[in-house]
Amino acid sequence: MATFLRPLLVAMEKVNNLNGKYLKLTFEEQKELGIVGRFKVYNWTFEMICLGILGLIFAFYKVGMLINENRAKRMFSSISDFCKDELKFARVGFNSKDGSKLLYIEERGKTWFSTFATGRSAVESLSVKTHMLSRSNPIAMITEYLLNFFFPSLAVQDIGEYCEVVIKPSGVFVSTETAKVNENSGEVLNNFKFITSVVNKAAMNELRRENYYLSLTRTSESAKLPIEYVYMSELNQLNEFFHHYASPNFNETLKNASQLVKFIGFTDLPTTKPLTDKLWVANQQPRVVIRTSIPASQQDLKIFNEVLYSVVELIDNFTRDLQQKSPSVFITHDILKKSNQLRVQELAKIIKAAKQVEREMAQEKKQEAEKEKRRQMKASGEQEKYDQRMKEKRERRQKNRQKTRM
Amino acid sequence: MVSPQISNLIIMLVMMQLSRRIDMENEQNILYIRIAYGASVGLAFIIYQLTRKIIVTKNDLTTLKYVQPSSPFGGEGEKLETTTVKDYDLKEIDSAIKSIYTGLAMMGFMHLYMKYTNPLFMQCISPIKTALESNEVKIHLFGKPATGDMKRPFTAASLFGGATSGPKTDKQSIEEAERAGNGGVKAD
Repeated sequence: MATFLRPLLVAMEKVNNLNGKYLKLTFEEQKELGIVGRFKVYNWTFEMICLGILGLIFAFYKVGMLINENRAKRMFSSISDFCKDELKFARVGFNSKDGSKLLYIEERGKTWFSTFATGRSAVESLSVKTHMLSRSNPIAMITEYLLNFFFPSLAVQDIGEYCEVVIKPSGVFVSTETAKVNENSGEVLNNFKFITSVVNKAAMNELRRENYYLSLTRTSESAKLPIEYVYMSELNQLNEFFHHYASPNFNETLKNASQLVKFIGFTDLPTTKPLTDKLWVANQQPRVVIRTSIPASQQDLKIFNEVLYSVVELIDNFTRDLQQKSPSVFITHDILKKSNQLRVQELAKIIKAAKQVEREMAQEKKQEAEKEKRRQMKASGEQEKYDQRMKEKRERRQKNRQKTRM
Repeated sequence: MVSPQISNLIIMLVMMQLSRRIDMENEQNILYIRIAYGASVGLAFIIYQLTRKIIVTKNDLTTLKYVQPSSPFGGEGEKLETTTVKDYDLKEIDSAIKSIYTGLAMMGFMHLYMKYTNPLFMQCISPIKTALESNEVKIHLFGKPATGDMKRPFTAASLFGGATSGPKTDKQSIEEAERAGNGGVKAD
C-alpha cells in the first residue's frame, strides 16, 4: 500500500517544501516581520495554482452554460416560428407568471430544454424535449465519456445529446377554421394503435434497447427507403404506411436528414416496459415520436423543420382519411385485429411475470417469518424443547419401523 | 494450421527462454526492448487505424442481425444485436484499439512503476501478431472474403479447436429475440 501512496506523499512533501523557508522561522522572527513582511516571505505558488484552478472551473461553468443556452435559443426560436407560421399551431411555448412568453423551459443546470405547442387540426399537442451535454461541468463530462468508452455497461442513460419530438394525434380533422369538428375523435384515435417506424441504421440497436415498443417489432430493409434507414414494424404490412400517407418527397427529406434523424415512429405502447397490467393500461397513448440529434446549424434546423412538416402532414392525411371513412384507408380491421392480438399476448406475458414476482415475494416473506419465529423460540429457550420433542418423535418412528421389520 | 492461441503460447515460451539469456539490468538492452515494444504497438495501432479508415470509406450499410449468447458472468440473458456491417466492423476494430490502450497501461505500470522489463520483452511480438491475425484486418486490409470462419458475426476460436458457442444467426432465434419485448427495461 505504501508503494502506491508514495507518489502522493512525494507531492505533498513538495508542496510543504515550497514554504520551507517560512516554516523554519521561529514565532519571534515571524512576529518581527509584521503582516507585510510575512506576506512577502510566504510562498504563494500553491495558493495561486488553486485560485487558478477555481477560476478555470468558474470560466468553464459560465462558458458551458452560455453554449447550451445559445444552442437552445437558436433551436427553439426556429421551431417556435415554424410551428406558428407553417404548421399553424394556435399556441406555442409557455406563459410565465408575469404574463411574458417563454419559448422553452430549461431544467437541471441547462441540460434539459422543452417546449410545447397545441391548438391545431389533427394534432392534440406537440412537445419537444432536448438533452444537451453538461458543458458547465467538463470534469464530469470527461469522466462520463471515459467510463462509457472503457465500460459501456456502466454508462449512465441519457448521456448523449438528443432531441425528441412527441406528437399526439387528436382524431379531429377540420379543413378550415370554421368547419364543424367531428364527434368521432375517439373512434378515429382507435386506429392509431399500431407500431411502425422508420429507423436510422446507425441507431437501431440502442433504440431497440431503450424503447419497449421498438423491441416488439421486426426490422426489415426496403428498396423504397433511402439506404440509411430500415423499417421497424410490428407487422410487415405496416411498412407501407409511411409511403401511403406521406408526401412524395418524404424519401428526399429522409435522405437529407440521414445525419440528423434517428427514428420516426408511430406507437401507442409505452417507452418503458410496463411491469404490471395497471402500468400497461395507464401508459397507452397513441403518438408519433421523432428522435433526432440536436440540430446545430441553420441547415440542420431547416432539415429538422422539414421532417416535422412531413410528419404533421402525414398525420393530417391519415386523420382525414379516417374521419372521411375513405375506402383507401391504410389501417384496415385486419391490421388492427392483428396488432390487438400482439397486445393481448404481451399483456398476458406481463401478468404472468408479475404473478411470478408476487409468488417469489410471498415465498421470501414466509421464509423470513419462519426465520424470525425460530429466532424468537431460541431466545425464549423454547427451541431446545422443540428440538427435543422432534428428536423423540424421530426416535419413536425409527423404533416403530424396526418393530415392523422384525 | 496452428491456432493463434497455440502460436501465442509457443511464442511466449520461446520469449521466456530468450529473456533468461538477456541482461535485463543493462541500460542499453532496456532501451532496445523499449524501442521494440514501442514499434510493435505503434505498428499495430497504424494497422488498426488504416483498417478503420477503410471501413468508414466503404460505408457498408447492410443490416446484420444476430443473437448474442448470455454472458456467463452477467445476469443478462440472450441479446439481439441489430446493426450494420459498418458498425459491427467499427465496434470490433475499436475494441481491438482499446485492447492496445489496456496493454499499454498494464505494461506502463509493470515497466515504469514496478521496474520489470521481462513482460515488455515478452510482449514485443504479440500486438503486431494480434493485429495481423484480426479478422477485420484480414478482410479489409488483405482483401480476404468475409465467408467461412470470417463470416460476420465472428465466433471466437476455441483453444484446442473444440466447439464454440458463438452468436446465433438462425432465422428462428432471430425471429424470437426480435419480438421478445426486452427493450425499455429501466435499471433499478
